[in-house]
Amino acid sequence: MLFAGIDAGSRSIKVVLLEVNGQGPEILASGVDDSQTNQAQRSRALYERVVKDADRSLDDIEAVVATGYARHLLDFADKAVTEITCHARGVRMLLPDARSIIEIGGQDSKVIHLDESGRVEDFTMNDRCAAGTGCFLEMVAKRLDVDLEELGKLASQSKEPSTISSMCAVFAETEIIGLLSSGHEPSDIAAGVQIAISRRIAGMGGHRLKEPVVFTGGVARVNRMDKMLSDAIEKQIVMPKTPQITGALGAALIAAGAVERVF
Amino acid sequence: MKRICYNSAYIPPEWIEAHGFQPFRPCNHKPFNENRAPISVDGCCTWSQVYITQATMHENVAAVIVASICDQLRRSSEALNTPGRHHTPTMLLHIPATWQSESAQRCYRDELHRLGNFLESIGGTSPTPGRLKSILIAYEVKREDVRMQLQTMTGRERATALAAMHGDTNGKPEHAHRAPRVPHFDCAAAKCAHEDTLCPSGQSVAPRATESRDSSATPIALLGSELPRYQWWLFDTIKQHGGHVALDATDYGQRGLPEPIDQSLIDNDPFEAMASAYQQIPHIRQRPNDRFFDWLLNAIKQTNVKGIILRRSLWCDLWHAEVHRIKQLSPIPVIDIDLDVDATTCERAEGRIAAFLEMLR
Amino acid sequence: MNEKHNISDEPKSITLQQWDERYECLYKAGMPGPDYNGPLGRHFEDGDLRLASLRFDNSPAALRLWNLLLSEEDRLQADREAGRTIIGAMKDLGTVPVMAYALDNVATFYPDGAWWIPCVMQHSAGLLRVADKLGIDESFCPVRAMVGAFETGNHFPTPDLLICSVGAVCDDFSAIAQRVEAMGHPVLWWEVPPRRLAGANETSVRLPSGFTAASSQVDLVRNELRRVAGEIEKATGQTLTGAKLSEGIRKANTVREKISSLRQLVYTSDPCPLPALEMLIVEMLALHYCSDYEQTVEVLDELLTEARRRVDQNVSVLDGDAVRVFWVNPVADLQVMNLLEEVGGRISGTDYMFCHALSQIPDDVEPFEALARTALGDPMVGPTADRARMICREIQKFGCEAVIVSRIPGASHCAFEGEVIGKMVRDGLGLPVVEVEVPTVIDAVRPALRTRLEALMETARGRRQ
Repeated sequence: MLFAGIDAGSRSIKVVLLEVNGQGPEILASGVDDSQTNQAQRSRALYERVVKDADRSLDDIEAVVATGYARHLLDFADKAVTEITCHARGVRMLLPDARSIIEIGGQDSKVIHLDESGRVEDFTMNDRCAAGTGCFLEMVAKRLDVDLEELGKLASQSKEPSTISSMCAVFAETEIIGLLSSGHEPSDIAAGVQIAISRRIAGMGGHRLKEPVVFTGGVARVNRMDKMLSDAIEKQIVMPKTPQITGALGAALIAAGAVERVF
Repeated sequence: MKRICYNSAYIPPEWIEAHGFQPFRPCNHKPFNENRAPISVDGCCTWSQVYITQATMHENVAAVIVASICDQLRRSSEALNTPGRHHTPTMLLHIPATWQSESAQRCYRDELHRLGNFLESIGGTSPTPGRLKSILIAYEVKREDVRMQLQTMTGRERATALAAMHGDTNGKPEHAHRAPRVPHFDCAAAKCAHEDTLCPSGQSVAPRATESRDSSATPIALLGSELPRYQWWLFDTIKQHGGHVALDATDYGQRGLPEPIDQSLIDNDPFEAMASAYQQIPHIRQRPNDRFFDWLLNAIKQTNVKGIILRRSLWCDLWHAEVHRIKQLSPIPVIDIDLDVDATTCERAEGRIAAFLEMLR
Repeated sequence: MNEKHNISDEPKSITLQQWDERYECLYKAGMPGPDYNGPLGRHFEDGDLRLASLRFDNSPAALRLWNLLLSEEDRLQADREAGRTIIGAMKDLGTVPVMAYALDNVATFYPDGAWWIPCVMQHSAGLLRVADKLGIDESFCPVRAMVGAFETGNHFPTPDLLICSVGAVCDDFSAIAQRVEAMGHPVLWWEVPPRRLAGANETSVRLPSGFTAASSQVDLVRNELRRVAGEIEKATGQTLTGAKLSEGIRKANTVREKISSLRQLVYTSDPCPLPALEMLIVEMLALHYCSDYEQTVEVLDELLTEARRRVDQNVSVLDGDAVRVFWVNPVADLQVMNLLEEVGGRISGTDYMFCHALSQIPDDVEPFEALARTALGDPMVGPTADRARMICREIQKFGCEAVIVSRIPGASHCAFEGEVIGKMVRDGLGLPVVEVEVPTVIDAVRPALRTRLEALMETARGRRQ
């Protein structure tokens, strides 16, 4: 039986097709696309493309669960569930022992605390300020004239990370402009930003984290973020192979659970 | 002698010393992100965080006194009181926001007595009137010396001298201010010497600024809350761009000095003499804060400053809310500079100060 | 369906337009009501634009509650025209009005209540823009709308006497009130010290809200209240005798008792008989009775009757499965209370920052002493840990499953207290907590806010299994 999870995030859309048989659930296919505008339409298009690429038809899908920023816009989904629950569910499949999750997405960053059975006990999210989120990193990359994926590599060349002290994304941008104009190396600024974000996440309840701590979300793909985060929370970080799709995977698992009661 | 760390001009160092402790009002704060406090006070303003940081990191501190001059300090004191997080005795001292009523005056005195009881509870001794009187006079002599020299000091020298009066010598022996020029304190003489600096309400203000060391420098007033030592670069920046701080109206500066204490009152009731002098200190937080504005306008007139640099800490609502009014009431130009601890705002501040001084010239 | 049945039908959550249609039916059917009752749409026409984005309870009792709230401005204008003394109380949340309503021909209101105007009028009144221009920008809490309201003079008559408590209050509030004074509205300031326990040689006084304080602090507040009373006497030309103040306390206690009964009934019944939004307005009545004591009592009686009817009939506007939420701090945008219910939550306990105004004022001690004890029992004037402990007790009392700490943008207490309250709830009760910041109009952040609330409901439900 096939199930789909769609994570319609603020920066990217992720789709996971899950096949459930006697052996348990297995990821059959997945896909990622930029969100841009008209997330509902783009989510639908990506969903259809992933199904088609997997040589299946939409009729084969038993249930679809949507998550992410635009989850309520996907009228073809059977149910909408928040990213908190979905990431927890996805991580539970990939890393069953996980007790904490740090998820940094485009718009939100989250710290999720799990109980021994993998159930969400509690969670913390960033406030309205964008500092500590993917879109903040994008702004930094743009200011430093590198692609987001290159930001980590750039930071790795830093000899003396700059100090970014502002808690506000807007003020932080002002600081970055000031640092650039006063001759700070872009690599030092990039490293300083990674440290600032990591400290901010640590401040969101990092002291309560139990190990194993799993790092998911799009920002987890940025080079060295896991190390910076690990330093800030003073705990080991575990990364799933595909950190960006854990939310969509969790959504697909919930879809399967709702229909089959297999979990 | 063990030190008592305190944070406000409303706490008389004489009172602490009279109880057998060394008063210590630190102003050598470091930015909190370079020297984090062992006590987390997240959620409070930077200023309160650096105070708590310093208070908990200095050695030989017998107790930390937090005066409730703003709600951020009031709340950050809670972090110190959380069981198991900090072992130095702590006291939150309420400084009434009102000042004109009998209740407010009694409240301030009651709080000073409570401070005395607290100091006794941690090993201090209750001062006799004679002991308090002699300490009051010794402090008044020191203050008088500083008052006499205010006009000839640079901004940095003045800040150093005033910090030393509060026990903060930045780790050096206490020689930052010069030897007393008034060998025998005479309150009446002191009053007389300052008659031309009294505003109509009787509140003392800084003496008239004469020539600064650089006669071409533009005299300006530095206004705001406490200026921590790590922001003393402001004095240098102002000097570098052709200015001279003739009026230090920050909490650590001239504004934070009590008016000369009446000797007859010292003889009769030293505690009352001390309390009435310290409660007169004008502050932006007082309600109403007319007294602060009276003081400021008179000080501007007396010191002949040409402009005001208002330095306020980022997120400090009490000063932020008054920027508009200060500009409205001030007869001279005002520049508002909010400073956090990062390099960028320092650069931004420097550029603005340079432009402001160019404008004044 | 006959007309009568249509009028008294089952509880529903309805829109403004639906309320106006329903009002027509009720009116034609002869619904009794006071002068200020009428279709809610007229308030929308007057500029209360946010009403069109809210969902309301469909009971006539709720309609009257809304009309009482939204007609306060008219009532104050009428008071002014009738020559009554108008007193503006700021910050103390429920103390000065007890004294004022002990006298004849006096109306009292909270100018800081203007903080809801930017929400209710969806910024169309421009109060925040005026405050910006006067130097009170968005780094201050939404109470800054009060600066705009005083400047424009459009939302309430200029009070004859303006009174504000200071001392253990937020810097931003104190600064805003000082700004108002500097604009030419003299303020009578009175001191409330930060509440503390009695020292070794001091006497301790038990306060109505359950806290204790040093007796010297109660003495200070009592003397300050006497000073305030003296100024009220001057403004009104009347003497506030002990007997009169006792009568004022009795009146306040009547309202407080009714609100407490309503809270107990609504927050503990399943399904929940009244929605969160209407209950938020109800709790606010404890402060100053929307400038009309008698009408407040009647409105509360009607709501109690309606709530009891619904409980007896086991009917509700809400799903019986709703997650039982404890809500901390009032919201700047009323729509959030609707949103909580949309995502499957219900209010089962609150601390809107004025719990002391819900406690009974002692009637067995000298009246100024009683009022002082009540004022000093304000959870906001003591240590945050005191407030957090009180919240934990209330959470247990009402059997809540999750906690929402709502931040007020710019309010200087919020950043610190959220962590303290959250930690105590998590560590002590093991409940999930989420902190959200609610701006005056949430439209731009609604999806993000919804995600947080929804995730909390999912988490709480997950823990039921």
